[in-house]
Amino acid sequence: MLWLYVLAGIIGGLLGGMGMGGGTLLIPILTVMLDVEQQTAQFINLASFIPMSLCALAFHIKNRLVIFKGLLYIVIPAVVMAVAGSFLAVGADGRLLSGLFGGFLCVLGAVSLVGGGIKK
Amino acid sequence: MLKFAEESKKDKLKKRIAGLSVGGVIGFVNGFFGGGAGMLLVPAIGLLYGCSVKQSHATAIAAVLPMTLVSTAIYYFEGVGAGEAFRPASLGVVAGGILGAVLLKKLSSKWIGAIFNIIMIAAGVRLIIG
Repeated sequence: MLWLYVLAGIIGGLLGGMGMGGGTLLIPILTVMLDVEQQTAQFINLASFIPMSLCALAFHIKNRLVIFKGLLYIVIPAVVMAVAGSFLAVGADGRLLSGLFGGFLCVLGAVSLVGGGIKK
Repeated sequence: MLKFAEESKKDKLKKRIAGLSVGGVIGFVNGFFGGGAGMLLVPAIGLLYGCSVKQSHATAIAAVLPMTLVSTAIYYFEGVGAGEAFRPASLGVVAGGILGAVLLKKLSSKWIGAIFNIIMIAAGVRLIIG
């Protein structure tokens, strides 16, 4: 059973590593196929981002690809609102959150699909 | 890209307000849904900064990291995340991420992106239907 979790992680991480949307598919794979609770799946997605992003970031900074100027305007409100969002998620009913997450995926996928099509 | 002599104060203010709004919304979404910040932030940063795709990706990672750290900590201290799935799934994600980064150089294509988005929509519908 444990290796199924590994497999789910690999699939989710694969897509993220290719730079297309990170672990957002990881969460439904875990919840739908492996019966993981919504908040737990979300936690796994969040937590596994950290080591990977640290490595990637080291490279990007070395290659001078990161624009730090003005970034705090984004980061500070993001951190503040992340607190609100996180507490709301933790307190929410798992199935409701799962359904809402489904809507979120539809929006993300549609926007990204259209955006990708327009870019041509 | 056309280069203007100097960015007016009004434009700077507009950009700062845009940045604050974008940051707030994406931070909330990332915390509430446990992800998705990257997908939203990369195009947003591209628009705000007018930078290259590579720079958008890199800068987005830098911005997502602090909000994700905070969210992860809150989930953790609120007791979410204990369980048998965490360690094996996380290991898988890291392995998959490395594999994906390697594959990206060989396979990058618009089709993969489109297929990914379609799968996402399908998964979303499935979750809504329950």
